[in-house]
Amino acid sequence: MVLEKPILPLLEWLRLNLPTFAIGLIGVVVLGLLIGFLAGALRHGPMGSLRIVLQTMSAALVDFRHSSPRRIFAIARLAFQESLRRRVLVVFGVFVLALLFAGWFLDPSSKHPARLYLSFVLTSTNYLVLLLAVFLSAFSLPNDIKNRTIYTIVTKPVRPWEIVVGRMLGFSAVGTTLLILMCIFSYFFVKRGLQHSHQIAPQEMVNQTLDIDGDSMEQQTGESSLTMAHRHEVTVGPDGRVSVSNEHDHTHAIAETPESSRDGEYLLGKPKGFLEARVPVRGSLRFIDSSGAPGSGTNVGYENKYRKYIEGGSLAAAIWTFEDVRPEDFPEGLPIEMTLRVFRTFQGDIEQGLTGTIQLVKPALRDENGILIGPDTSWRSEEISFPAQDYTTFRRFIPRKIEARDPQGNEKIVDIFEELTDPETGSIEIWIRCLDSGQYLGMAPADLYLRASDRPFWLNFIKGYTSIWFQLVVVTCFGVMFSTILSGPVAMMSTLAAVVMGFFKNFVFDVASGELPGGGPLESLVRLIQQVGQMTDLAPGLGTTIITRIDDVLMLVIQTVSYAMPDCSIFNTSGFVAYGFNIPGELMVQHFLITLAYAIVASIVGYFCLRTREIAA
Amino acid sequence: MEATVADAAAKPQQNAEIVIETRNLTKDYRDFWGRQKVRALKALDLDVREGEIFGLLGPNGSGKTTTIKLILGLLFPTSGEALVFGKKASDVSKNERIGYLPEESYLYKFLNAEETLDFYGRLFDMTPAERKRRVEELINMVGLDWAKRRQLKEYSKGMTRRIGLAQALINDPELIVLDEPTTGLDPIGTREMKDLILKLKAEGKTVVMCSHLLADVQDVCDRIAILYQGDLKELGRVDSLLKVRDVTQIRAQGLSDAAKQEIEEVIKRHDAKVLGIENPTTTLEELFLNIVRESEARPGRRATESK
Ligand SMILES: Nc1ncnc2c1ncn2[C@@H]1O[C@H](COP(=O)(O)OP(=O)(O)OP(=O)(O)O)[C@@H](O)[C@H]1O
Ligand SMILES: [Mg+2]
Repeated sequence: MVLEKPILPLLEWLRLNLPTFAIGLIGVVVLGLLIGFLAGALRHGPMGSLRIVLQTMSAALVDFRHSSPRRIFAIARLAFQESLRRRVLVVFGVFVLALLFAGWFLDPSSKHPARLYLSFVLTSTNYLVLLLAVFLSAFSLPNDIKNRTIYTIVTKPVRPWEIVVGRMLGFSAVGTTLLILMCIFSYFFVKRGLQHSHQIAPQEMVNQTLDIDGDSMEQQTGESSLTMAHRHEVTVGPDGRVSVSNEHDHTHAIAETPESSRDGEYLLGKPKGFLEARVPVRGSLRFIDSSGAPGSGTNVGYENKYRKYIEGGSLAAAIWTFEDVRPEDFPEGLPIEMTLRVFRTFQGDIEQGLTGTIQLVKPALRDENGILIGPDTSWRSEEISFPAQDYTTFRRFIPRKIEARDPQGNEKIVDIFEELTDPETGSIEIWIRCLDSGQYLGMAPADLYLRASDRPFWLNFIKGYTSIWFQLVVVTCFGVMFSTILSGPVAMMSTLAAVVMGFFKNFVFDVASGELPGGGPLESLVRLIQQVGQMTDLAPGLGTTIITRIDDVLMLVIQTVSYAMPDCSIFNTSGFVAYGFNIPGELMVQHFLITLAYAIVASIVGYFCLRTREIAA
Repeated sequence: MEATVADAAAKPQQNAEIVIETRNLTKDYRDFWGRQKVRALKALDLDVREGEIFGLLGPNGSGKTTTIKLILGLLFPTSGEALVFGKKASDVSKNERIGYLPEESYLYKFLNAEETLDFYGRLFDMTPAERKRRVEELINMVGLDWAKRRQLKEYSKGMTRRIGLAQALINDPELIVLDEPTTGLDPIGTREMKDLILKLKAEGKTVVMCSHLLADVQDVCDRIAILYQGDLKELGRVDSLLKVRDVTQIRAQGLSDAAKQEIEEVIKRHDAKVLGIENPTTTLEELFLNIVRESEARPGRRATESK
């Protein structure tokens, strides 16, 4: 899972984002006042317009003070009833059908079936719910105005706030109802889709002799039956304990042994490990070059800046530093999980994978560039080798007692928390190296972590749906906001456009800041027509200058507009759920606050639009 | 015919409180670009006092509905202002005391009668018990008890009209604004509507209504205003407006043609002109048609209420 930006603690995040929000809000207000003033000035002159603007502002406060939850609720209830009577629940039927059909097409032989199923249900729910939100919210108010039912509302003591907020609440409630239904249905859909079992008869197993500390022991092992395009290796150890290998992201418990089962076979029960919510403890990543000096990792060319590579068979290493690692949190030892990338400069043995090593190191004193201050006094653990395969998660539990060397090279069995962690800060380093020379291992900060604990999967699933819920609320609020001034279809298109613009917000910013080659809309058009590639500069001259100037203005406008548009992709947490990571509570709180901010802005804008609108004109 | 501008009797009760006041109320409809399309109302000055039934009359497109919408704040005046209970038309709080029946019943078609009234009731400050009682009472009053569980989309025009009226009365308003209350109602419904309006007056409520059905207006209204193409043409008490002093109308039954001839001659002998001997028309209709004809012939003349 790609985690571009680390998740900040809430206070830090607020400190960074509150000013942006405040500036945005002030911008909206100033812009609104300006538009209102200019529109008024056309008809009533500047002084008259100023008076009207001031009156409207004070009236807005009065309206706000007199808003009543009772009336908001009545209007929300009406919106809810309206949707139900318009048979919105049909959407749920469509969803169920879509999932049932998709059940045929979801490839069960995938190496990551859970990821496939989870991203499928989350993505399809997401799109369906957003589409529904757009349709519901954009048409209601314009319909009321067109059918003039609004006359009977605004001639009652109803404030424009209540009409706007009531609708936002009502349609959000409709979406919520549907989302809950979809959530429950998809949960069982995923559970059922992943459900499978294997058997293996004891006579199919072969005997193996093990050499454990000089004693030779007997164990039996064999491949289970083929289901969902995979088999597990089942091993019956010398002590009679049965273990099942991890295959396609999961393993099984033994449900029945030959003694208890009817056909005298081992029956593997429910799959385990598909649906998880791991809580990773993440560290910071730095690199050492092949010469052993601090570096920034090798860029092998086809990746984005996100992931960097280390060369095998050299001194190059990737070093994660974890802070505050305490025995209370890891009483037995350190559970390390990593998903690395493999870049081969020659093919080698594809099946085998590369060999990497893990080493625990007590951090030495370093300056900010990673250069040692003073002598290296750190203890280093033995190097534990592991097979590195592309895209495959490797897990290794490192017990507390481990062989380590002191700076003088004396070997000794030590406790991780005594000799390898800094007693004050609780920090420990994990060094990853690649042993195959000429090959590369790729990694990003989020690729290696300590698996502190697990949360219940269902809770994470609900959190994933809550993220969709945030988007639903934001889109509904924007739909209602647009519908206060625009006609139904136009409001719908605007909402859709807003959502799409939100999705491409980063792209727009990159184009505007010149970070992306090819220039703005006009320049791109010229390039298209003249068939000039993105990288070649246009021939300098007056034409090009004019084009780039116009583009600058256009991009500024687009940038300003898209700045205010809701970026639904920031709420996307389906990656967490699909890849089995717990969605951090902090992230949920941040998303909730963003949703709230958008809802507030949308209702303020919606209020003024409705308030200044001549209903019967 | 010389229009009889209201005489002393037409003066409204001076001591009664003014409920609606319009000052120089003017409305231009504009298109999207702000260009003027129609001047629907021209400098209207009106007072409606507490406890009276006030009628707005005028041909189609004369600005009756526009006036009502301006009073309710559904439209913003181009110039001038409308005050209701002394508050600006754009002030929402005045709506607590107002009931409005629009020209057509614009209601939520997916609700049934009970749900409709319940919804509108929730917009006012009432206890649930009070709301329930009121809903039941109004459904009975408009005679829709038999159809209260049916969705409004199944309702006939008259039934919708009735529920629209019930909706306007949900808050027991002091001022009731009715835009063509009798359209779509059967004769019994029309009679009931008129009785209701009179009953509301008896309860001390103020009613403003507009209608084409002159007989209705004549039956119930205390004062009327006649609009023609946005101009106020006539304003005063119905009884005094209808007193046409220099016209004698002869109503008889069973006259032979010879007798009619004879009567005509008698009138001629007295130097008077025979205007026609015919079946009598409603007198308000006569007045109304006269104003319309005269306005077409001599545009621009306006009436003001003499006080
Ligand atoms: N929304 C509007 N846009 C433009 N012109 C309008 C609009 N509503 C009314 N008008 C115009 O204003 C004038 C007055 O219309 P109004 O609806 O007030 O008449 P009315 O007296 O109620 O007529 P009716 O008896 O037919 O109901 C008409 O010329 C009409 O065309
Ligand atoms: Mg009308």
